[in-house]
Amino acid sequence: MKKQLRWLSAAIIILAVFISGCAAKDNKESGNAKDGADKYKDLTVTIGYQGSGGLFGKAIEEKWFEEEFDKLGVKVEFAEFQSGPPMTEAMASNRLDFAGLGNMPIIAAQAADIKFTVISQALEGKNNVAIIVPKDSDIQTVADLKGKKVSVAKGSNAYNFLYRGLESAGLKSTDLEIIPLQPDEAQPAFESGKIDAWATWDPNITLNTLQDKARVLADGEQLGVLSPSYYIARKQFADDYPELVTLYLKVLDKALTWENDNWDEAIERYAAERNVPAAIIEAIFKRSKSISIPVTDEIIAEQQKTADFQFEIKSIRKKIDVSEVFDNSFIEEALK
Amino acid sequence: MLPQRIQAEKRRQPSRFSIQSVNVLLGVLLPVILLAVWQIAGMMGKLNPTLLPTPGVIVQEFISLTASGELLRHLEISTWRALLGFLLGGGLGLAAGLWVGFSYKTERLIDPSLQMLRTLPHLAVAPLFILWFGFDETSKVLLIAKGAFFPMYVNTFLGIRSVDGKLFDVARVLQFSRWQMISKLVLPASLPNIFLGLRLSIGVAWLGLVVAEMMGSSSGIGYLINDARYFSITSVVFVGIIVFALVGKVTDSLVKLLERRLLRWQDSYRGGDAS
Repeated sequence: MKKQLRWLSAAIIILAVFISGCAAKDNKESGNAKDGADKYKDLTVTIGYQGSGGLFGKAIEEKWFEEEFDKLGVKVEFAEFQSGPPMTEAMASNRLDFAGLGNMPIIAAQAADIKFTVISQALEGKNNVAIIVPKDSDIQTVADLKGKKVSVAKGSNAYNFLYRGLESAGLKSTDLEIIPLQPDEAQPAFESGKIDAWATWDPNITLNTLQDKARVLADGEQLGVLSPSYYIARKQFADDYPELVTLYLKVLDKALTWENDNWDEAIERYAAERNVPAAIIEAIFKRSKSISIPVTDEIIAEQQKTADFQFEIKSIRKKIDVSEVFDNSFIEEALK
Repeated sequence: MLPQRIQAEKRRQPSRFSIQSVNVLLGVLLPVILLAVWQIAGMMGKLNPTLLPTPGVIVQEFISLTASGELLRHLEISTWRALLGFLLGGGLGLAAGLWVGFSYKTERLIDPSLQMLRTLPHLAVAPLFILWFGFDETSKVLLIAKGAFFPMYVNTFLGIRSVDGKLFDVARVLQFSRWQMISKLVLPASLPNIFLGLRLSIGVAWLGLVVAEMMGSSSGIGYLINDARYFSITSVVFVGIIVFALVGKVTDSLVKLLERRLLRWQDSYRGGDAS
């Protein structure tokens, strides 16, 4: 019995330490006095981006973000992601402050009570998402997908697109086999014919169509489904440091201006990064040109439609009001 | 006998039952305290519900998933996959372990290659398996079998090779035939290791499910977890993990029970404070 008591007391002590540790952490966070000089003390901003290279690759190389943030004594870190959902996960755990991602991940995140603010629109959303099939496939319309294997990244903008496309063709998701794969897993499966169709976003669409591996079965313009992308900031961060959010957008604008003013150089650069001909990069620009603009009411209405649809097909568990997460004040300030 | 005397007797020799119940209580104590702290911290709003939903929320999720039949359907599929993969991989592992264990020549021939394959991580070969075997059950079962093979193989081999040499001398004196040697000496002596291999192998098969069901799968507990991740429904992730843990623990306990029945003759050290 004595031994057991010893064990018991040890366990209680460990727990006590654990609890007091948690409490101490809380104190540290709440005791973060925000007075002038110390305001940015030990602050590190983490910026997330999708896929290596591209616009962010250039900005990182030129240290454009560091340049501006260093003036305020704020450190900058970058994190690369494959798709949107992991970004919102990272935001939920306070490990990410800025991200650029599609329309579907932010709907899933809002439904899951992850706190973020949409600060600008990053892609127009007409042609950047599509369903592609192998070049010599006998699938001609979305309705032909019945009984076929279709791959899509769960929770991505292409996921929403695929389901909306199926609905417009009068198909149920049970009428075909939907195989969840991330882009790097889907590419080899698509090339080897293990899947019959692939709902994805650019650059995957252009890379496959221009290299004669695929043709577009349907894209947003044909189906009348918009898949805009957005830049978002962690809500707590945007509340605490609105001026840093504006600064982020200003630097982003600088990068976009560079891209527009040095069109050929940019194309050259991105083509070398991906090891593809320049024509492919030019086609990608046509499908999905990076922007950073205020979000219009039409786009928010479209976003609401997407959210309602996702609720209908039970991907998200509650009805959400998407207008709650949009805030154009930062981008308006940045573009002044 | 005086009543006090009886009392004293009892105190000196606690019944087996009371020791067992104290052991069970001790085992349960820590998790219960942890759950209580967790629930209270969650209710006080000290935890981010996306990262750590409270036990209450997880239990609710568990109930609703069970009620809808979803959980059972996925569990059934996962169990089948794990079982098939384990039987295939573990069976081959046992055979290979016996073969290599009994023959020095075979060991030199096969063991190096097998050891090389052993270090290949699941995640690295999963995309290849998908490319080779497609998205149906084959690739998943084979991936699980790959994992289940090695613990069985390594431990069977080890068990055979660690039989005491002196016993062989005795067997020779007793003029055992080769068959008697194997059935009466080598196999019984290597059983503890084989059982350890069995337990590890079942564990790895069960773990392999997560990887096998992560890529291009649309059913099973691993799929349930991943799917919930993409939509940030953390409570479902927890339910999946708990189901994994429970089923893993139950199967392990069953094997342990079997082991204890078959290895009653063993007289080995059970830890200093085992009463």
